[in-house]
Amino acid sequence: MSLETDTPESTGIDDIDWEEIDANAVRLDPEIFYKYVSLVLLCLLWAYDYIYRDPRLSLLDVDIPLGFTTFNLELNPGNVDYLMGLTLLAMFWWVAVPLARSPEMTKQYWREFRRNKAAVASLVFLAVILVVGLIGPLIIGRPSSDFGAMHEAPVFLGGTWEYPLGTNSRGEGIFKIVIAGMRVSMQVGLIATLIVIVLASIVGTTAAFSGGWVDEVLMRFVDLLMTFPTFFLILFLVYIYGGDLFMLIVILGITGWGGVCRLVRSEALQRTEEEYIEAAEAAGATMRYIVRRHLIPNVSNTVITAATLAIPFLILTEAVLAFLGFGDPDVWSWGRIIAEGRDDLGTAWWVATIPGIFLFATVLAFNFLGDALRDAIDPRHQIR
Amino acid sequence: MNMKWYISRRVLWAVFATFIILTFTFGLLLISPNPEASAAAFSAATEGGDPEEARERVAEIRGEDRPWHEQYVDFMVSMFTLDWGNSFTYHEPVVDTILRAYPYSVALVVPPTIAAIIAGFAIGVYSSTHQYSLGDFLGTSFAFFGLSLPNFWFAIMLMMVFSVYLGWLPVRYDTSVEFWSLEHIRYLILPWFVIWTGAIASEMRYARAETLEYVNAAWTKTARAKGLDETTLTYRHIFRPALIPLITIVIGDLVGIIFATALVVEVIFTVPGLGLISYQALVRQDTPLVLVTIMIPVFIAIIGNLLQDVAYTMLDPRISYEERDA
Amino acid sequence: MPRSTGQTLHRRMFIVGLAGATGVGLAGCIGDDDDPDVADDDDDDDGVEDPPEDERQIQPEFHTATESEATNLHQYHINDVHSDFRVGSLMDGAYALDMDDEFYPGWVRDVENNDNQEYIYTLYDNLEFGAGYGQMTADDWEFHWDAVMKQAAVEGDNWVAHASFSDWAAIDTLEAEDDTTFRIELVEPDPLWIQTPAIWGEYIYPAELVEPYWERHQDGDDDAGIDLAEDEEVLNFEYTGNLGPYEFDFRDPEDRWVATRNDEYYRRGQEPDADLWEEAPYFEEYTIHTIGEQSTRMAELETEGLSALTTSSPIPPDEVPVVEDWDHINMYNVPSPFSFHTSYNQRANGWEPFRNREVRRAFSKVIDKEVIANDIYHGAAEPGQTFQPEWSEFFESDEVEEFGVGESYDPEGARDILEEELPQYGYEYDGEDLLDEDGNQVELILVHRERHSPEADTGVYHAEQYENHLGISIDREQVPTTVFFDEYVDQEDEDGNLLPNAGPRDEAVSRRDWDIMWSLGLNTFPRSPLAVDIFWGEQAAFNYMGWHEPEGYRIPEMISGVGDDLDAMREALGEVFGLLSREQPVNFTIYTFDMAGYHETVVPSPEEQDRVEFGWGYLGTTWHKTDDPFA
Repeated sequence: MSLETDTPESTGIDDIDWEEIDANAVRLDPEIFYKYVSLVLLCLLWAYDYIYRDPRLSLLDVDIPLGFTTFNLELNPGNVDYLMGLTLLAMFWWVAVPLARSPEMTKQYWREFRRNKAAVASLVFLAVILVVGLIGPLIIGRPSSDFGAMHEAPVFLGGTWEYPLGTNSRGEGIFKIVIAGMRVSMQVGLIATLIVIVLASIVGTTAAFSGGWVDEVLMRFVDLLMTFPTFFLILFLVYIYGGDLFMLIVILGITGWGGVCRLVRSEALQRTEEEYIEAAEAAGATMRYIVRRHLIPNVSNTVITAATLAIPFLILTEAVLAFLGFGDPDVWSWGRIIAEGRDDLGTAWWVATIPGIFLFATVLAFNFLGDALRDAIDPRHQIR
Repeated sequence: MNMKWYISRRVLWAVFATFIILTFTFGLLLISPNPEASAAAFSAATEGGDPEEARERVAEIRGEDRPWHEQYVDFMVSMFTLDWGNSFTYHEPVVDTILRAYPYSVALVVPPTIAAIIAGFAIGVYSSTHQYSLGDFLGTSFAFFGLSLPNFWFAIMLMMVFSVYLGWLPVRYDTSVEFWSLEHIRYLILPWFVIWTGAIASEMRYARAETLEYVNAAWTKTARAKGLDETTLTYRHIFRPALIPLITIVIGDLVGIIFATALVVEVIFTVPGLGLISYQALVRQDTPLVLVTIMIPVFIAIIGNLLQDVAYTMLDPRISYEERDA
Repeated sequence: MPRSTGQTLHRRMFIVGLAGATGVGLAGCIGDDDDPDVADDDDDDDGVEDPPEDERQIQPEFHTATESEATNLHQYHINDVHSDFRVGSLMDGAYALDMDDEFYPGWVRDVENNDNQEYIYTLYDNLEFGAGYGQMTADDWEFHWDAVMKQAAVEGDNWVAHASFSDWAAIDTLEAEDDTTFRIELVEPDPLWIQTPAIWGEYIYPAELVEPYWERHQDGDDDAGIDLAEDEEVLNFEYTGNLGPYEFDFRDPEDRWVATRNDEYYRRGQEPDADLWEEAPYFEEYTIHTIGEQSTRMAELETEGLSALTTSSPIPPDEVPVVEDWDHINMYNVPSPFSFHTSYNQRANGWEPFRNREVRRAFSKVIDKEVIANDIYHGAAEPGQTFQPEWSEFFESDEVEEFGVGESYDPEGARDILEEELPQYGYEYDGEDLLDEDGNQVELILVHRERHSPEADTGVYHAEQYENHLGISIDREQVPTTVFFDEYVDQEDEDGNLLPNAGPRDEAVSRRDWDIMWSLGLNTFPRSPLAVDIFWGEQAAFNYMGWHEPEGYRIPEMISGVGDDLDAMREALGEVFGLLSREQPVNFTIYTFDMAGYHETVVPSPEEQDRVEFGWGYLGTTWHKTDDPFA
């Protein structure tokens, strides 16, 4: 069985897109059209920004009059932001749209899901964190230091409303830091998970469907990946080459897909036995086609639950790395602030405590959500 | 296809996989800039000496002035002949360093892990047999809290409250305390608690998921219909069949848990265990020590996997040797 | 030199924070000052209860800690403070310098200076190596010179891989006169030879230990030097005998280093200060813990788990306000000779206007050094003005022009200078912002090392000052130490060697671009600063920022030929330091203090109780404790 195209390297979104569009040119489904056009537009925007724009210049810098005041909207997305955009688009097209298109199924899921009050609350909480994290920093700005206001207490301990949650050793407001940290955690969790999903699905389904030595080689590789102490690998790479958030996310993504991949493979193995695959095969469909049209959609439930449970793990890993001093020093990771606050426990306990509470709550919410999803979509499944 | 062939094939794979991972690690260390050499070169330059010579001197002291393939062969041969040589930074045999460090890691990680397994299984079985009850909700919630607590942050908070503020417990692990003593427990109680809360959720999840399978199984229903009391039922028809897969999962996970949790907890409580040692070895590029600290967990993990598979195959005749667990 | 309880590092340390793991820096070194202060905030006058001399008792334990483990046990290889701190408890070294920069005995009882060119060293006559190597005699020193240091410094054959030998190149001959006397003849007269970090603080091995390896080396065995480093007697410190206050007991890497009181210590009861040394050292057991976590170290100090944090692992500046509130901890503010500066890249990959001294001066005017010293470093630093701390006797305030203190912190003046100077490079102000020819705001890269506050905080402060007052956008990069040196400081020469000055500034540039660099700390050697030409000037080995002296000045020429005359030297150096301050090749931002913290029961020597200057801690071995919290 040949395997010339579906290798893990072909994750560059645009080349897949074009093939996809070609393949479907005969019967142009408008949804597929919009889906890929939106992705391609995002990639083109990135390419334009990357190649033609000075990285320090804002892509967008406009003043929006709001009657009583003007609001300055300045956007200067970096690589991580583009990846985040890509992730959100992917969530929209592959989660939100399919749900909307099959209201029956959605209703059924929702009935199951709604029974779990904690999960509903978690969903709301996470939505708030995501929206505030994405938009908040644009409105209130990044934390800036004020060496005249170091270690100010939070407002409930007699501080001022200028710094509702107090300040750290540089006089940066904890409130702003917490909000900037929401964005970082969401970026890490969602983007790295997207990478995990893409790699795991491609490799897992390919292995399952190809069988034979291809399966053997791929799964042995997964074995290696899972036995390798990746945490140390990440520490080392960051120690030697410096921690940049983009690199960190990519490393987390490409070292973390082993478990999900095994899951996808075993799920897909069961599916390949089923009749519609055999029918498609008999009808002369190519392996690529079968994998894409039949296997991946049918293992997506497994993938989505596994992904939701991978997110908190990734967020925690990033926080631990930042805590140990291996994060991106320019990024407001909660882990980094906790580490800094650790040295100030005697004078300003809130510096380490408050971001920790948010980190805890976010991770907890993802765990509740993932568990509820698993119960709703596939009650018997266990995920490692 | 017989068992012997199957096992020997897996052992060969274990050796091969270790070899691949060691090679990768070696390559990584080889191509990375060495901080000590950079530092030496830099101070030589400021002394009016020859920085390149200083760099070479550091390389020579570490035997890294030879061609890379010679070093590679040397290291690999020494790894597999168990002649692990001396640590570059501690100036003692690597074996001594490891032997000194591992009791601390074991003392730190094993008791809370065992406690977590017991508690996790108990909660898991209870939840699955009492699905959607208040007890199920509380038990699961507790496990989720444990899973979601960022352990580094939790450790700091505990330390702040119990060691610094209340002064009940020591601030830092102290190796001079008698190993088998009650006093030692005072030093270990906080790290134990941190590890325990972190580990309990995953054990509970497995237990709940595995036993859930048997709660709804036909034989359980039959047994219940026959009027068997719930305790016996839970134990004999739900817990016992689930125990085998559970134990195998736990064996496989234990190693991973030890090494992943150990580092952070060891750093925070300053325990000179394996996590700390391997971490320091990595950042100082102490190649012999790095290779051994990487090799041991990798090898154990692979052998652990193998034992899991063998246990599965022997205990569950439905699985043939050819099929890997998926 | 005695430094087990006190502090002090004697090796030639050029750069702070070199060979460390994450966030680990080198501290250390020594000096003098006119306005010393014991920085404790205790209720009583000097914070220390002075017991009568006869109450010195030997207490069971002394505990201290460093943030990082020793990585070298072989004395020739030691180049980091953590290794030196540990080995220093077992070996005194040749001699120390006191707070007046004067000779204070170690193994060497006395030095005689003849015409600044010939120096006669006299050893104590009761020095004994361990492991049966017998007395340490002048012959051991002659052998050390012949077989090791001369080979490295003169012959260019550093077969033992000695870590610091360059100062020994000044020696012409070293000969034993008799058992306890040896004579050094210098190539050129040097009045400050005793202050030069060559013999002072040098450790040696017994000649018979090294001899077999030396013979092997002469026979062409390339591995001899490496095998010496792995010699069991070397690694287990069997040779130290009575040469230091403590004897090696055991070490657990990443955990602790334990040494026990040396019953035969040679210095006991010897003059000078025989009474202080009567029963020295005053602790049965001496433990150095390795505690990587700053907060854990501090908590241990607070809860009396540690007797002290010495200047080898000082109290971090951001903890100073906390420790000030602890009544039971006395803080000592020990000046450090490291100049932490902000440099302007004048090489081809830097911002072109930095080649203009007016522009550099303008940039230095917007950094308020008092904010950095007082607010960010919480008083554990003082403003710097040139490549010499103000307390140095070579600092001539008449020559030095100040920047960034009081009136000389002048953002508006800086802006005026730039408005005048920058148009010639095509940069113009438009309102607040400085624009380039294309109308985009000018952006400069500020790089500094990734360390904990307050170093990182000072980087943030720099960026904000430039942005707010000069209208320049700053791209701040924080990088790990390795990357910092390899990618930003060093350049590559034709052979691919990485050097801090690999060639002319228009050709040799660092691998990554930068414009402004903060956080490098360089040793100014306030006791013998004649090495200034290593650091500054077009040809200087360390001229990483690509600075050229102005027309008519050449630093090597300014200081040449003054070697023999202390007054001429002082004058010449005064001019050099004046020139540096006016030219601002870098902004000499701050000099830090090493804040040592001692439990109140630790009693320093009488002299060191009320005087804290560069060199403080030289009598550390004579310190004692009034009461033992561990008992």
